Amino acid sequence: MRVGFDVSQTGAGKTGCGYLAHGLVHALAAGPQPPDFVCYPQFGDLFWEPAPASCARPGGGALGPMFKWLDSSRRFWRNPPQDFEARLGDPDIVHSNNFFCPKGLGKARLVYTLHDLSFLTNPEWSTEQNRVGCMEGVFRASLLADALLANSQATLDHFLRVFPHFPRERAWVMHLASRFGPGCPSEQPKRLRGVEPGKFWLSVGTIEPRKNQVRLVEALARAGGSAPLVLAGGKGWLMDDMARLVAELGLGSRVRLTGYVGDAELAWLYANCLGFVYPSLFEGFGLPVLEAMSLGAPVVTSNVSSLPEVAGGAALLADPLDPESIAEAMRRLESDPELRAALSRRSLERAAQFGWDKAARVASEAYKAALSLPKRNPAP
Amino acid sequence: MNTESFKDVIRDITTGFRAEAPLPAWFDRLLMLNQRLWRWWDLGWRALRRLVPALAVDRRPGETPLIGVDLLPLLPGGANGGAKVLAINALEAMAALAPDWTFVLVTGEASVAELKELECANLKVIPAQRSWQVKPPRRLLGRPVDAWFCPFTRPYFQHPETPLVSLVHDLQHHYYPQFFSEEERRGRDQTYQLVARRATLVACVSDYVRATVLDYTNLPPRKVRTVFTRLPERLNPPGEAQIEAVLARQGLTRQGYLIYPANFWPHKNHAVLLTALGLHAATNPGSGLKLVLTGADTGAAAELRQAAQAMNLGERVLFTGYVSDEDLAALTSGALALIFPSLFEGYGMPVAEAMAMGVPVLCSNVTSLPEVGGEAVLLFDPRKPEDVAAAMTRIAVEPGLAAELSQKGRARAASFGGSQRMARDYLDLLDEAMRRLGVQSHVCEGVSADGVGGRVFAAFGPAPGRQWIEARFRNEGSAPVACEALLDGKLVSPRREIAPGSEWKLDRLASPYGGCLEINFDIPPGHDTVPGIRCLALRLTGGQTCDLLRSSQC
Repeated sequence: MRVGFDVSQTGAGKTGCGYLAHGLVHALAAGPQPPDFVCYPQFGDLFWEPAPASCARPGGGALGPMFKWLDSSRRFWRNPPQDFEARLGDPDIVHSNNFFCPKGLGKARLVYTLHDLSFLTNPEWSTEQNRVGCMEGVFRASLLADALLANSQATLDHFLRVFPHFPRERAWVMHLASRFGPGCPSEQPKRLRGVEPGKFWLSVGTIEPRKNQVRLVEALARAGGSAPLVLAGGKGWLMDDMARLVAELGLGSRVRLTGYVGDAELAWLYANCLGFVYPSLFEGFGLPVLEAMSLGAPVVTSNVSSLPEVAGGAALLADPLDPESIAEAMRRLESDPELRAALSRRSLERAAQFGWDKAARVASEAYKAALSLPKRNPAP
Repeated sequence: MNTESFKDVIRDITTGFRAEAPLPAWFDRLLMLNQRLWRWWDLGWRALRRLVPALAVDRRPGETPLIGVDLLPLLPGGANGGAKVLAINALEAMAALAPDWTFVLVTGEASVAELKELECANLKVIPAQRSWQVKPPRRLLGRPVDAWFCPFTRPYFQHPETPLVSLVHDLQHHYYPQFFSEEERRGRDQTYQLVARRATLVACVSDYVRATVLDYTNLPPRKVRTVFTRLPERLNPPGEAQIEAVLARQGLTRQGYLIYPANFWPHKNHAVLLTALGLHAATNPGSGLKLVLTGADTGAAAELRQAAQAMNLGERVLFTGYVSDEDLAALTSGALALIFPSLFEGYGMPVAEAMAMGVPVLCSNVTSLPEVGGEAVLLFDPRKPEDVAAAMTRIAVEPGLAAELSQKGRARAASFGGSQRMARDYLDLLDEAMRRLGVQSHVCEGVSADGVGGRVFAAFGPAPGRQWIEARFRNEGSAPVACEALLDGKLVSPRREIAPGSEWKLDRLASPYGGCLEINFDIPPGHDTVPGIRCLALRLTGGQTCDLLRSSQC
């Protein structure tokens, strides 16, 4: 079996989509019957990796078509040439991971990873350019995908609700896994010298409306206590509002922004926080919750979208729209060491249920089914 | 200091706009070196042009202006979309409204035959000559061109001397760059920059477009005007028999379908519409609502047709291909509603047309569409399929909604007025451009009729014609006062004293590209104004007079 695998987002600055592709392709390559891979560091017209050499390439397999310019890459993927499949390396399966859905496949089966559909309900959370690209990709996938891998049951249900024509039997739920685990390298971030282990709240993610840091900071003000809140993650497009709010609430000394942190620093933060608070308004999966659990952090998260599914009863759930609800959970956690210990234990148990090998098994099953079922709407 | 006016001046100067350039710029500069020579040259040139009709390029319009209309991008058939409909209708109405004006339509060879049908006593069609793009004509049909009108935005043949009114339809390439190829984007960018530099006035088809132009080009607001598109009666309301005949031919039932008249362009958002129809069908199994998509058959149409099949909507979605205006009117009249989920419009003509025919409208809440639809339409977010589906379901099941929207729509369309009113607006705009009324920007501070501050500062934009700056001050006090003057930062009048009872005068040629004048007076300590000094005049003269003194702020 020859699999053309989109690794376009597995470069240096990985996000959730990139970790999925990275984890999955390595797990598949390490599995019992590894397929031949053709890797596509440039895939589609949405995402452009400036340093394609940094993308995943298990076993030094073949590379797909490479382009020097974004424009020529776009032209190739948008208007497939006559010898499209030959140039893709004649794969049996093309697996897309970055929302782009190729057209023009006459023979190869198309497997599509679905990350999330927040752009359908809250288009204002993303740029218009990104939204248009995602919409086009998901719409086309609903017509062309021979197998669909949704990263959570919540995402799959959402997809099937909006695209009722998609055949249910061609869809699978493939959970992500954490790249951390007990014993992985950890190091206290230099910028947080004053923060003591076990005495800070942690939240991870770019500062943006969807991640709901605004209500988290309000909840921190309501919850009282003295533990600072560490916000780890890049500066998003809501920074000014955030700084203003923090100043208004008089929390200047209690809210600490780290900016982008490396893996070892992140591991230290997860392993040493008082509690991991993640009141996101919408997630396709919610990888930070699983990562926190894999290092035994007690977790407070939202009761919406995929988050209860990932938490699986091992976390405190709160209404992300109600700061009081978040504050209540934080108060409970702070005042009750036994609850913290119990949640920490349950976190580790829950995290152990996820693994890239499991994801790879689901993907292999989907590949087999895609090959045995007739191709949907093949290109002429 | 009035910052808004000041910004205007800076914007004007930075666009590099120059309303009138009778001579090459280097010649102007050469003559500017000698003030006296320049003034004589100017007077002589003006007199000569008055006496010799062939030289009368800057003829003051009024009686019988000749308007050149640049229709080079016009293509035969429907490939220009709404822009062509607007241009043709506006020109016809303008020619009818202003019988003493002459309109010369300049177009490519391919479109001459089609445009010839419009010809009448004061509307002529001529093919463009190849050499014009290099050497723009100042005269058409043996008469000087008083102004150019560019309904397709880009001026191809405008001589820099001739006033220009350019019509901007939208700046979509700026907001949705991914819908355009690199070449298209670059071409559009060039067009708008050319317009910003050259146009005397810029017309926009809606307030939304005007706002985006101001956002994007940095043009002074008073140069950018909205001429609201008013063509609701373009489609003739069809008769009952005609509607029935067309519906029967297409296999449709009255009010059993929604119609979306649009070409299959990416911003028309057909994917969300199909998704919404699928959602509607899934949640309302009893509803047999259909969807009619007009628009020319292209590759994108084939792809959508395949999509509809794959979505099990093959029976519900009807692709008619390009339809004639009569058929479109009949199809729209017979529809339950017009649905318009476009992501980007400069105006949105089908919405206005449907309202005029009393057909309920469901449309996007973005760009110009809320402005056109107002309260008379059902708005939805075109980015959310579930929102669009909810609107479909509402119009299909909610009793009385269709009737209410229909009635409100008719009232709203009637309030727009007809193409006559739009044509009148365009004529007024052209007239204003020809007379160059209020075109020049200026700002002044430190002086008023009552007194003079220590420092007088006046800035002015590019000239509507040649400009002279004139300043006169009289010392009515008892002590002499020293002063100096700088024009564009250059010392033009060195420091000297004005004796009591005497006058100080400055009379200089100012740059036609705009500039600033500063006059510094010695001010005794403890005074706000210079005692005794009164300003008699501070103005720009030349093409037209602009009184800086009156507009000054202390």
